[in-house]
Amino acid sequence: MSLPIGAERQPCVTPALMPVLSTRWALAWRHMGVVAGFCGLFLLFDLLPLDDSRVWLNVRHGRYIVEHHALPVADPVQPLAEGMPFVATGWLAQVALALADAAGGPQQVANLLAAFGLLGALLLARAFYLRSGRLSLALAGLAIALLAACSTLSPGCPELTGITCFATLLWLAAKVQRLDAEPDCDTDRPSRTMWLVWPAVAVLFATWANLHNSFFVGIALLACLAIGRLVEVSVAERSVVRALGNRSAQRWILLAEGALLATLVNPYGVNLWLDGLGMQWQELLASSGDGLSVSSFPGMMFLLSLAALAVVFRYSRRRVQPAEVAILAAFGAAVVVTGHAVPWYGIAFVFAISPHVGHMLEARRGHATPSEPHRSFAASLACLLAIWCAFAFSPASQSLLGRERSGSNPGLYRAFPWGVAEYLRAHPPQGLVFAPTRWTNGFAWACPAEMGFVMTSDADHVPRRVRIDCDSVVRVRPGWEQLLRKYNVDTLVIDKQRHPDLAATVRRPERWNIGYEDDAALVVRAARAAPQVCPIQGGCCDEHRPGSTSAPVRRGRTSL
Amino acid sequence: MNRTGSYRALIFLAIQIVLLAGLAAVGRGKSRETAARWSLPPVSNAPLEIPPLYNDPRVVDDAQLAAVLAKLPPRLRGPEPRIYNLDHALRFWGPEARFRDPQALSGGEIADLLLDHAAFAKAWGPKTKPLLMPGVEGLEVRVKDGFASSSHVDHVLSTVAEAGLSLDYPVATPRGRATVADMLKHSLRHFSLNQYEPEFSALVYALHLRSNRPWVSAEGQQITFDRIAERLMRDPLTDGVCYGTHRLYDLTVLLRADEKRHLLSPECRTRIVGYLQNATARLVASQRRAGYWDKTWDNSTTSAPADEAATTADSLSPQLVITGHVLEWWALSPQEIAPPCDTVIRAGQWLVRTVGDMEPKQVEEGYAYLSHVGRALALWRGNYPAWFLKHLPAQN
Repeated sequence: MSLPIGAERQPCVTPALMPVLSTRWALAWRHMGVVAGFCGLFLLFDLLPLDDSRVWLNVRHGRYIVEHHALPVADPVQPLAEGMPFVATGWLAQVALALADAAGGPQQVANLLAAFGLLGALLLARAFYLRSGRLSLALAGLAIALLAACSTLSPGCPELTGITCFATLLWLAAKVQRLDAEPDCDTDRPSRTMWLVWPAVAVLFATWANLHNSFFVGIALLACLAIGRLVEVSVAERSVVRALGNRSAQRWILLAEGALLATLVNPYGVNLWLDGLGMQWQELLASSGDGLSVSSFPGMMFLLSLAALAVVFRYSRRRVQPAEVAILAAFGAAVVVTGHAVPWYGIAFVFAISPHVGHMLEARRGHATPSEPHRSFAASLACLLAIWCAFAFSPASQSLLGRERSGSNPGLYRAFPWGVAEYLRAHPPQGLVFAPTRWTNGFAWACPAEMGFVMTSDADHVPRRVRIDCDSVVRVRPGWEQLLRKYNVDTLVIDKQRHPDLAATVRRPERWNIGYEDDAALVVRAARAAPQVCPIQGGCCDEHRPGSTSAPVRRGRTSL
Repeated sequence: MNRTGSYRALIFLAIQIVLLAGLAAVGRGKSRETAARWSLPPVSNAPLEIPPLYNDPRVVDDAQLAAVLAKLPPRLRGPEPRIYNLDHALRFWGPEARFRDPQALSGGEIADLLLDHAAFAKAWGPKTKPLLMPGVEGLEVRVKDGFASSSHVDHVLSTVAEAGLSLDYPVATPRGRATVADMLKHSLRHFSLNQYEPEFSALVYALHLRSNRPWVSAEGQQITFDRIAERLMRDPLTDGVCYGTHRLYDLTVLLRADEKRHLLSPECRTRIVGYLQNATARLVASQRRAGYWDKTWDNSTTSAPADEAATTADSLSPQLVITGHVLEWWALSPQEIAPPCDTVIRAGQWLVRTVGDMEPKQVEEGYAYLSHVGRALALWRGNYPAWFLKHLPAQN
């Protein structure tokens, strides 16, 4: 293009790009690191096989609830549990899992659980941040909590929903503790945050009670916080009665009580408490024999935590609060009694000591204020990119992006005998199926609802006699075949690696026919000839009746 | 504390009182609920009588019956009488029977040996472990612990019930007095649907429980008659006590008791009838030409039913066991379950012939199952053996 003669070339003025968004949305590059970390965590949760087979049993139970629009009155998978007390603790989680399964199969179940896991991790990190005031400490605390959880729990475990609820509670508790720390905390006018905390706690516990029976852990935490606050105020006021009139102490006590009452919002009411306490008691009895082994990974973690506690309390100049002592004592005692409490202890431990660690680091740094990190929209965009990448790479995007994934049921646990499941589907047994409980959980999900199993991992639902007999069968004790006949078992699924004696014993064609075999599993069917059934050819009752020579003896009460 | 603070403290205390009161009320209610849940169902003092339904002299005539019964008095007098013989004898003859044979125990003596520890200790010696032992809840009978113990769970109790002894019948234990009701209490509480041999427990409950009110076992399982019946029908046909034949008897007793006490649901009743009809059909098909049945009575073998297997001393015992038990069951069975008359007649006549040919030593050794044979034949004449003892005195 040519300019007209005489015209001068004018410089092109382009307006500078100005952000329309508030600078609140601008993030620092270290935030990008945190976001990338959480994205990675989500990918990990989503891609790991769900090795806890109980998740598939939960899906099966949830399927029953969805199909019948009612809670089961007896275990729907174990016919031998009929008549045993049954409370569908976690029915809400089971329904959610069943709906996810119906929507997209195992992968959708894995996606749901990954979302739960991510939410729990985010809330834990937020709670630890509120307690310590430092992002690095919050992330370190989260790492410790995850390590503690992984020491005893597998991906996809039912406890995941409970841990997410626990994380929510810790976040709320940290917020309330911040209110307590404010100078005017004992004024009559509650803050807006406090008004939100009350319904939040109520909703949290009402949901928790229907998701998982670990809600007692939350009640225990609130009770520790309430007791701790009461002790603290009592010492300050030198009077327990005065402490009871303290607004902050009252708040914690009422929060704990309100939470307990909120758990009554469930289909079973108080019976859920009784069942939960009964289960905890049974778990205690079951684990009291072996306890927490010091040589095990959870045991070593517990010892390390005690050492860390000693160091932190030695060097922290922050006053140790009675609530922290109560939390550490209560959750520590639980770990000593049962190793199942390790994940809860790990989380509570970080919650209790994080302010002290934060204080120690602050004291070490002196009074120098940390420099405010440089924020830019480029970092924000990078965060969005990281989130998109995580979503795009995760199987969760499959339905949205329409990609085909190779391999069937990637979310199902490793070493699940798919061949056996297909065989059982193709050859449905007439009687019950006896199989290792870990596999039974998966079969319950993979096979038709009509198929009944002797025992799943919910062994406490069946009578004690059944458990004893199952043990006798896997140990090939004398009379084991008679026991199976007693339970009308006609199909036996054997884990060849774990029960080689049983696998060797059943290779008798006169008693058992091999239906399926692969490297890991052996399926045998009872070799019973189908008896001929003949209709009754007429009756003779009327012929027998007449001509009675004697009336039956009427025997009254006989006392010698 | 200012006035507002005082009000707040008061409200706080009031909330605590209300919550504590609520908790106490819930606790009390739950405690009552638990007590009610764990309570045992109502029982009738006298056991229900399930009389025979037929009288057919073609199965066994008077003379044949008298001859069979004459071979089966309880010649059990002497040291260490085996409990399984005693309880079968009590069930067979009843508590009021008396015999001229000096070796035969009377019904009263048999009942004493079973239910009075002094008589038991006299017969078995003081060092023998007692048959009756007071347990945590009720009175326990020692089972499967040698000849001085009961051969099956609740067999003594079912014998006592079938013999017509009431729940207030006195029982003497090493630690004092009790009643049959204490034995029933122990049985009800410790019953397990999955226990080995539930047949006799089921029979006792059918005869003594007044209604279908469920109860909770020691395992925490709610027990109903429907579940008991389903449990009985769960095993393969020939598994169970006496080749599975007690199960058929129990289910029929359940059906008969249900007519009076409404113990079963209609669906379960229908299932039981179908199950028993199926068992009858198999028996009719598998009956040997001579009239007996053997271990393959469920018709599960491919051999033709008419084929006669060579009868040996070993094979005779199961033949007598099964044929005697089956006829005993059919004597109580309603028309819809009963077999063609020819089947019963052939079986009855085979029993008469076989028992007639048995030596006294054989009778002594097989007294327990022969008591079923004698009772079955008497029932097919419409009455109990004790009645014939009085009315056929020449054979006594």
